[in-house]
Amino acid sequence: MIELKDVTKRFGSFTAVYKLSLTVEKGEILGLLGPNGAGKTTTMRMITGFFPQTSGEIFIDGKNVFNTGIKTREDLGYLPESNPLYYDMRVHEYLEFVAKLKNIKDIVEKVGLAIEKTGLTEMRKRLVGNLSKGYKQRVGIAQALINDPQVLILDEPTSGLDPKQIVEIRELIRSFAKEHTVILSTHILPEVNVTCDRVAIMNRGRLVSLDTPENLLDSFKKGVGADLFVEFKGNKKESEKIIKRFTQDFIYEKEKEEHFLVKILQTKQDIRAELNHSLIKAGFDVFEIYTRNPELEEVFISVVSEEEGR
Amino acid sequence: MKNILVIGMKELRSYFYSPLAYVILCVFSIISGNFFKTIIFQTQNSNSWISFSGGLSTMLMIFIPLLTMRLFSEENRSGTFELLLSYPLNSAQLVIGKFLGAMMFSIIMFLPTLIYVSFLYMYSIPDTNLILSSYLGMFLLTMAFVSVGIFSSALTKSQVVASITGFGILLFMWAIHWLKDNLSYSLGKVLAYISIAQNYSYFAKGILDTRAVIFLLSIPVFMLIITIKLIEDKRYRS
Repeated sequence: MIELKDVTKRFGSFTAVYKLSLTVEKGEILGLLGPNGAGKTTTMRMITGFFPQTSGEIFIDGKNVFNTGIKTREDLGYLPESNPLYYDMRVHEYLEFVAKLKNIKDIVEKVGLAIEKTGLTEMRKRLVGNLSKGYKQRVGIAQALINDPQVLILDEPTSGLDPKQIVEIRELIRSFAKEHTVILSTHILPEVNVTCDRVAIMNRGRLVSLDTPENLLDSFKKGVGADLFVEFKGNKKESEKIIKRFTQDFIYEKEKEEHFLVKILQTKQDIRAELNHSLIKAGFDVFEIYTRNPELEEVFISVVSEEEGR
Repeated sequence: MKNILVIGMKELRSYFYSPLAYVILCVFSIISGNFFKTIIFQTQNSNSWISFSGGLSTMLMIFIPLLTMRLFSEENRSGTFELLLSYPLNSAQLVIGKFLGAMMFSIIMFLPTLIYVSFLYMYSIPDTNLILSSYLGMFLLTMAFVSVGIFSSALTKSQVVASITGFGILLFMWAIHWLKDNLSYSLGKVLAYISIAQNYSYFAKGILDTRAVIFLLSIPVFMLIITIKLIEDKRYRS
């Protein structure tokens, strides 16, 4: 549905995006992840046709975005990062204005539907400028999906929303994605996990990795391992001896008399059973052994800092 | 065409959302009313209307940049411009739509002056052709001024800068013939040809000169085209 081929964007001598290639299939939600200045917004602006790429090509539904111009934009919904709106208009007036520009035929129905979907029913007669940040964000989302677009580009759609609204908007995006293609960028990592089918991590204008959130976590786990926590009661020196048989990397996170919580760092093999066995055999009371899987956050930080180290 | 109308109507409505529109309408009516009163009591002949319409046209030079300053600078400042460009809408439709919106507002601003015209008809026998030609002149003048104002608004993010730039350009185009005394005769004549004030003066006197009509019409055409080019250039270069 959306295809980027070796897309490069330069602003003067500054390269914002360098040789970016990726494909997003129909019905897929792609999350763009990256630190500030990674080129996420620039990428999105090129896809929406706000400005052209310096080199490379962008296709939506097989059509070159900049050559076909207006035609591709009929099937596009876009929420820019700063969520710009006309503050002096009323919610329904604004949405009617957008609907007219997007060549929608049944304006009243579509505006009503967009207002309902985004939970703006009670706010429809209010001035956009007087709404709270969360409601403004909803108006921004409403104008993006009012024309039921094939392609939806959302630049940080959940910023400024409260936790309940975030969940609602996520569900809205998920339900919307079934027959449409969505690209969203975000800073909030759990959001990617929950909402996106695939994640593209960008750094300094380059695509660093592109995979499903699960695969990213798995490969990270294989490479780095997971932390193992053991909670037990007994003699400290004795326990050190036993754990050292398995690994040298461990710390006593909590100590209270003879009660300990030990963190074993980044084990790649599963040693839970053997460790449990040895501890019990030596007369320790073992309360809990568990691994804590790495979070997407750690994957992100490691991928990005790895890049920077190069 | 539909998009132009949508943008135009939105701009016209936007004027009335802010106090600026009411202030401008109010001040324009008060000043023009005062002009009319003063001139009528002083001259009371066919020159009255010539002086009055001359006064109105000068006021336009100050009021039009205030009307147009917001049109693009505000979109640039708030970022709504980015969103507008993601809609199926081209730069020409956008520029012409905004031009249309500002023109509609300007016409509304002019409506109260018809009251003075009706006074003239009530208490005297004015020269209808003179009045019609001066209105045509002011209409063409408004088109030229609005287009210059839109151009200067597209240059910047700041409304203040836009209005001052617009006023500066207008004043320069208005009064370029003032320089002619210091120049050679032929160059001075050229300047008189391209001065807005000189061209407008024909209409004010009731003369319909095609040269003046074409000259005044060429300004909005030229200004709107370079505004469209400016907007597109900003996109491609950024």
